[in-house]
Amino acid sequence: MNVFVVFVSAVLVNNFVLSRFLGICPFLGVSRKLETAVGMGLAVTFVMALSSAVTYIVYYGLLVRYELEYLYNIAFILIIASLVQLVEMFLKRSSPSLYKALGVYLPLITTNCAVLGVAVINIREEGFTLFHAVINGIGGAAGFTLALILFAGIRERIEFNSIPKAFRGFPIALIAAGLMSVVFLGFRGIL
Amino acid sequence: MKYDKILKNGIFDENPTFVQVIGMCPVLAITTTAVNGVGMGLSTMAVLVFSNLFVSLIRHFVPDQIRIPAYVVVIASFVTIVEFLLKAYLPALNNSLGLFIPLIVVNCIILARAETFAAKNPPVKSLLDGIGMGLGFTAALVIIGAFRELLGNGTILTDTAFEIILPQSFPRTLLMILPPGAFITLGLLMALFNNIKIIFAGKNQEGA
Amino acid sequence: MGIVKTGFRLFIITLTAAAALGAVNYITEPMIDENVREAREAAMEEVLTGIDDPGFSKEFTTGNRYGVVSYYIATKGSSPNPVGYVVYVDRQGDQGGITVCVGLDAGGVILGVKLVSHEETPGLGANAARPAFLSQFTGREGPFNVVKTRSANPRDIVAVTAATNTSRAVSGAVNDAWVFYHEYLSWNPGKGVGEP
Repeated sequence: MNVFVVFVSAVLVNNFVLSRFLGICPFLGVSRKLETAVGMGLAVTFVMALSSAVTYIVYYGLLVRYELEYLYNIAFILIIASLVQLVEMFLKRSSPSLYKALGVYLPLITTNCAVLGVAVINIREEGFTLFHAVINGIGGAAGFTLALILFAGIRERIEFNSIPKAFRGFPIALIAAGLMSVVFLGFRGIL
Repeated sequence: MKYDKILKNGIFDENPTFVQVIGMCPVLAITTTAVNGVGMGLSTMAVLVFSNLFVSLIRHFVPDQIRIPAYVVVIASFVTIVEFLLKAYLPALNNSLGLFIPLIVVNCIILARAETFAAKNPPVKSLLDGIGMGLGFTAALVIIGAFRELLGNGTILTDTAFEIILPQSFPRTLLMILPPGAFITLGLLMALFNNIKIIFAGKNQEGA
Repeated sequence: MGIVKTGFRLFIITLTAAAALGAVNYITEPMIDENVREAREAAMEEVLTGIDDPGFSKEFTTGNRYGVVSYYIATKGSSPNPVGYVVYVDRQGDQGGITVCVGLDAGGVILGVKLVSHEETPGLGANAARPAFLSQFTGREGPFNVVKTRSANPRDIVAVTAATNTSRAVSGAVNDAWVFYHEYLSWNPGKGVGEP
């Protein structure tokens, strides 16, 4: 399978947030401000690229080899949780400024279903190599970041509008997200 | 808290979807039909009930520093068991829920209930909390699924014995079962519930 | 509490969980395999419309010749002559991979088509799995062409409304099977790839 197709598909055509519904919680939760959206996007991209590679290697190198495929879910979630912890400790020591920027978002990533989602998709797609898996991880994270940043921009504007009382907060945000999703539907024709 | 109150709490007062707004990925992703909603809701409820029960049982055994990894292991085990059982007994349902069965692990509702309720309460109460939250979640999924299926496909409970197909003259809005329909339906439903709340609050004030 | 004791307790929980999963896996694995096998057999009999109670050869893999993944030879009674073929084709659909099972008679006429697995959008592309669309292939010969409005041409297949991509993918898969029949099966009736 063409690696470029995998990437474009993950970013635009099957956008992780707006078409596959992965990572909705942070999408709705940390999209009130553009600045935090950028931070969250960066942190997720970092962890997702790393965890795509590690989970792929562990699945085929360990679980499949010893016929322990049934432990995949436990293994993946523990890998992701430990990776998040490691990244947090590493950033704290090596790059305090980056840690300051991303630190608060890191613990939230463990329960971001886009991260576990991409790991499961990678082992379910037939003919995926390690390279495909990592590209899919980066593409998925890029799609997540793109959606998050665009959405944060929209929500900052919504704040200044007068909205009927019943629609304030989540309802209007969800409808805005729905309209964004309509836009992303348009990418379906390109592949 | 009384037992019946724990149950009611999950379904209405702290409904995970409409009030707490957590665990939203499956809510949006699999609600293309009401049947999918029932399947996903009950699968999540099974995991929630058992993980709540077990977390409560081992709550004195687990030291504080390792409680999150311990809960995650318990949750992931039950998710895998549910996944295997679905594959063995209900393969068709498993196929239509697909990716979102293994992803129950990262459904925030389950870890949140383990942390905030089961870790501090005895087993029976935790079990009831799981049932209440599970029912609240299932109800939300079924309501959203029914709306989308009805407006998008013109059917209710398709592929079951109770299938109702609306006449062709009923307009079908394809958008409702596409991804945007999920966001828009949920947004409108939440606004509707907010509105009901506002009206009730107004009435209470008038009465007082 | 010491770190050793803490670690030990986490280890016990993980070990118990792994053991429980192993046990559940041990019980459900044969059932899951059986489900997969049964679904496959049911699909194979379904696509050979008009052939009652066929017998099937073992699965022959093709090394992806003409896009075909594998095929089975159908026989009837004790006669070794093939009465039909069931061909499995993998393709890229609109949302993900699709697997199509195509039944052909010994003369290359399509007997039936089934969409075995897909990830298409419910209500849109997923409608291509319904008989309303798939029955169009039955009794016809390829190569098929996807069109948007009904036409008199027997090679034209009317696309599912608003799901032209999925329709094309399914029709392409049937074409693959049909080409495989003409390029290989019709020349080597009743033989597996690589068999003398």
